[in-house]
This record gives sequence, structure tokens and C-alpha cells, in this order.
Amino acid sequence: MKEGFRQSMAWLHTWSGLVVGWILFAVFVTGTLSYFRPEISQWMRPELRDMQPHPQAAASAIAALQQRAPDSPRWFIRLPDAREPIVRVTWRDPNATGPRRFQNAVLDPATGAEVKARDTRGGDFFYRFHFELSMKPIWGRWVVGCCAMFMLIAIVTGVITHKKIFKDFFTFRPKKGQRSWLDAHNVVGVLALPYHVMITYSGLVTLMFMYMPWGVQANYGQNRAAFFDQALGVSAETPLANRPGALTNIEPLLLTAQRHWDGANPSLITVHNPADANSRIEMRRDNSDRLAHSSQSVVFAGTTGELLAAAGEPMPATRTRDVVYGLHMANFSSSPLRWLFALSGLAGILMIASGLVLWSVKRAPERVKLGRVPFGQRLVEVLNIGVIAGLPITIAVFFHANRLLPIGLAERPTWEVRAFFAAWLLSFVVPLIRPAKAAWKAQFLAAATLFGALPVVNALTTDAHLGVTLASRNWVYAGFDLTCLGIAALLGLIAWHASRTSATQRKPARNKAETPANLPAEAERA
Amino acid sequence: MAAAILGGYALTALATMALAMNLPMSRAEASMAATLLSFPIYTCAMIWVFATRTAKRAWLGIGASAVVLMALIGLQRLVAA
Amino acid sequence: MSLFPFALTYTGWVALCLSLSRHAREILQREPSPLERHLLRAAGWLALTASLLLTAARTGWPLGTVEWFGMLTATAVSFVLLLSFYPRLAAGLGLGLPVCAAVVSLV
Repeated sequence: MKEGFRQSMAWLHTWSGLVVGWILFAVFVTGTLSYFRPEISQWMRPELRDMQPHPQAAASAIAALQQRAPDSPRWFIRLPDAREPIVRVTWRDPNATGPRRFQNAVLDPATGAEVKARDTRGGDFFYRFHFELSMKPIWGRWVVGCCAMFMLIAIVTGVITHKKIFKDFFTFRPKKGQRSWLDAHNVVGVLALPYHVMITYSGLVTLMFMYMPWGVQANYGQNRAAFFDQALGVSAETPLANRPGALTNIEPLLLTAQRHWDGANPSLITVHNPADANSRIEMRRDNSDRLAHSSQSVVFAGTTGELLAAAGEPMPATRTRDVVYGLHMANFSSSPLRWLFALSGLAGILMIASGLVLWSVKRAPERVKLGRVPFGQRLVEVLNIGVIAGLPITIAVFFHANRLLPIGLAERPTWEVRAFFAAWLLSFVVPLIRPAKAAWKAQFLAAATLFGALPVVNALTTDAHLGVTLASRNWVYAGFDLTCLGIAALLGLIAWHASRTSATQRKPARNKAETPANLPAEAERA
Repeated sequence: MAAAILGGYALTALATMALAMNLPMSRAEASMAATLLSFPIYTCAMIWVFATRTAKRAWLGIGASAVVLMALIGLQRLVAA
Repeated sequence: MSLFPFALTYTGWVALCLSLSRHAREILQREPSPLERHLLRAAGWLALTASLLLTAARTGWPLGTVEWFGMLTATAVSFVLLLSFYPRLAAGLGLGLPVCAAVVSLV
């Protein structure tokens, strides 16, 4: 019975991992990039290089919106911070419907003047891709949610399957074929286990009321809004007075909000019905100074500045959710910690990739016996190469498109995304027409070259290149270029490695320690 | 497989509802806590189904627990109404 | 985030690793005595705990714990990678890193 349990867990681990592995790989890669969403967004708009946060940002943004959208029912003002020193405003166009009803602009924090930067989705593309996969949001979210659930199960069953989890804690034996792949999979899986569990569970939690609406439904029926008001904060919804009203000065309100939050800054200001006598100004707390990511807000009467409501400290369960949510978003202020998260994300990427490759490697003997590659194995191989070695290419192509497409091109952001997917499609063609080993090598080499070329192309097309940014210690731009070079070196190393040893070639066992009897149960099932 | 994925989800949904209605906290807090717990519950349900030797037993287990939870939720609704 | 607790997590991994006979044979070329193994294991856990306490004292428990887990993962992965190619260097750094970190922090 005991062994039967372990066997069924091994089966569950192998197949639940394989089914969702490729999507999870893409989710982990783009999700890890999303730790640097503001930095990527900035790099992709080199025109914003010299922006600085400014204390008058809120006031000048409101003045600008009063000019531009006086009769809009709602304004959203994203205040500048150290990571994204620009003001982003969004407003609802009262005369439009559909996706066009929300308009955006980027403002200079000091003057409120609109900054003309190239149109791009920036880091938001990766952020949204990592939970929507560029599908219709509702579909993408369900697909990613199902994959995350599989991942949670794969992690738990992986731990159950892996008998000698602590004995093998430090064990990685390179250059030993299948054994090395299994070791690598175990090492990055076990050593970053707290991260894997945290990121998968917290990812589910970010959209939990969509995936699991029944807990709210049981107590509130269809009245979900009541739940969100009670649990997550305060409501600023209010009927129109239908009389014109002028907004009060925002400066004292900012100070009141700060006092409310022990000195933390507001990050988002929402103005409801800005031209009405019954206007409301809602401010949301910036969370970069702490773990919890709560939507704590305060609401002021827009004309008088009177404090109408303030969300208190959340209750225990809500606070738990806020902390779990915050762990996923990782909006902490310290950048070394963000890099540690990114490194753990890299461990997750490597765990998924090595798991996928391991599935192929384990079945290599079967291939030798048959003298041909069965269709299923060929399919896995093509998907492995197209996704694992293809995604780095597509990401680099996305950044290249940002620099190389003509500035005035209509629908420029869409063309960047098209370039991304065109490159990905091509990454599946190469393994179809070339042998596996050659395709692995070619794709990784192409990815390394493309990443290595990014700082060069950047220098040729903009004046935000390393020569300028290093000298002025602009670490957002310089850091991006340097990271590209680092990634290029890493990918080059992998390409070099892939050309020496074939991923699917298994070397014969050399000594007793490598006989299958000592392999964990999962490998025995090969 | 279907038993694990769909049956497991239905069972988890029922368990989440029952927890939301019975945890000793305010309504909002209980809903929140129950929803947070739903994913570990689902994981355990899936593992249990796959650890069970036959599909018949898996369905039986899921069905029986679901009926119990439904009865509990239904009774509470009746009492409350 | 400061360097010294970071280095301590590395030292902790080295000590714990040396307390396992297979790795000890590879690095020290001899079998450690049961007493040595117990001492190494205790030292390893002590280093990891000290690192947690130092980190928490600096940034508070919530963020400190998260930082600590991040450091644990980073040093464990780099130690295992080093260990499989340069085992003696990997073990030696267990003493070297905290000393360097302490010197850098003081200067």
C-alpha cells in the first residue's frame, strides 16, 4: 500500500507536471520579469529618462485633468515613486463606450504637462501575459489558475515522491545524463521549495474570488459588492448632486492621508465625479514599505476636503490575505530583496524546464529500443524546444521591436506584441525541421545573440545607452542593459553546453551508485 | 481523472461554503478565511482521489462527503430562513 | 539587507553538508566522527538561526523572515553548484565569506 501510494503520487507528479509545464514555464518567465515591471516600462520609453518625482505631482495632475477631462465621471492618478518617477493618469471618457472609454496619458510630475513618449505596453505586457496569456482575460485567468492548481499538486506530490529529500539535499552530480537532470530538478525544486509553494499559492490567492467564489456566495449571495466593502475597505460610491462644484486643494488631504498611515504615501488617487458638488477623492496607500498589500484607502469630500471614511487596520483573515497577496506582488522597497525573489523565480524556471526535459530523457532508452521516435515523444521534444529555448528569443525580439519599429507607426504596441508572437511561431518551426540537438543549440545561440545585441541597438537608436546612463548613474536604464548582457552570457553558456551533450542522450551507468535501485521512485518508473 | 478534477472542485466549493457559514468570525472574515483555505483543501482532495485504488471508491468518497456537506449547508439555510 | 547574515546562511549550509558522511568523505577525504557530525549539525543550525535573528532585528520579523528565506535559497543554490565542481573551495568559503562580510561591514 505504501509503495502503491508513492507510485500513484509519482504518476500524478509526472503527468500533472507535463500537461501544464509549458504554460507554467511561460508564466514563470514572464512573472519573474514582472518583478521589474516599472523598470522595464521605463526602459521601453527612453524619452522618460530624466523624469523625477515631485511633491507637486498630485496638484499638477489634477490641474491637467481639469483642463483635459472636466466632465469625466472618474479620474485615476498614479503618483510617481522612486521606481516609476512619472505620473500616469487614466480617465473615463463620458462619450465613449467599450474598451475606448478609458483614456491614458503620462504626465511630467513637476509640470503636469503630457510627456510624449513612444507608445508601448512596456512591462505591463509581461505582467498581464503571466496571468492572462494574451488570451481573453477571463479565459486566460482560468487557464493560468488551473495550471497553478496543477503546480501546487505537482509540488506536494513531488515532495511525497522524493524519498530522500534531505539526504539528497546537497546532491548535484553533473555530466551523468539522466541522473544529472533528476538531481538538478530536485536541487532547484527542494532548495527553493518555500518560494515555489509561496508563489503558487499566492498566485491563486490574487484571483481567489474568481476561482473560488463560493465562500463569498454562501454568506452574501449575489451581493458581492457588500463583501468587498466590508472586507477590503471603504466605498466611495456616491450619488451625483447634479450641481457643479469645485475641487478643494489636494495638498492638505495628502498630509491627512499620510498621518493616517504612519507616514506612508498615497500611491493612487481616484477622483469620483470631479465637477460635481458631491465629488469624492479617494486615496490608496502605497505598500512599498511593508509586506502586506492591502487596498487601504481614505475618502474625502471633494469640495470641502472633509475626511469621510478611512479603512482601519484589516482583521486577521483579511490581513493574512493581504500578506499573501503582497508576497506575490513583491512591491517591497528594497531592491536586493527583489533580486532574491527574481533568483528564486529563476530556480522555479529551471525546475520546470528540467522537469520537462527529464520526461524526454527518461524515455530515451525506449526510443533506442524502438529505433524511432514515437509521436508523443517527438511532440514533447518540439514543444520543449519551442517553449524553453524559444521564449528567450521572443522576449529579446519584443525589446528589439520597441527600439526598431518606426516611432510614428500606427498601433505600435500591437506591432511589438505581433513581433513577440511571430518570433515564437518561428521557434516552433526550427525544431520541426532540424534534429533536436541542433535546434536546442541554434535557439539558445540566437537568444544569446539577440540579448547581447540589445544594448548595442539601444545605443544606436536612443541616447539612453550605457555610455550615458552609467556616467549619470541612472541604474534603471544601465541596469536593464547590463542585465541583458548577463542574460546573454547565461544563454550563451547554455548553448555551449547544449552543443556538447545532447539533452536526450543518456550515458551508461559508470558505477554502482548509479544503478536504478538508488534512483528515487519517480525515475524508476521510466 | 474527471473524478479528481471536477468532483474535487465541487467538493472544495461545498467545503468552502460550509466553512464560510460556520467559522467563528464575522461574515466577511469567515468568507475570506474559507476562500484562503479552499486551495489547500482542493490539493488534499486531489491527492486523496489519486491515492485511492479504484475510481469507484474515489467517486464514492467524493459523493458521500459532498452529500454530507450539502445536507449541512441546506439545514443551516433552512434554520436561518 | 546586510552582508553578514547573508554569509552566515552560506556557512550554515556548509556545516550541515559536512555533517552528512557522503559529502564529508568527498570534501575532507575522511569519515567524521559521530561527535564531529553532531557538532557540525549544531553549528549549521546555529548559523542559520543567528542569521534569521540578525535579519529580523534589522528589518522586523515579517520582512526579515522573507529576506531570510530568499538568502537561504540563494546561498543554497550557489553552494550546491560550487560543491559539484569545486568541493574544497565551496567548503572553504563557509569560513571565508562571513569573515569578508564582517570586514566589509566594519569598513
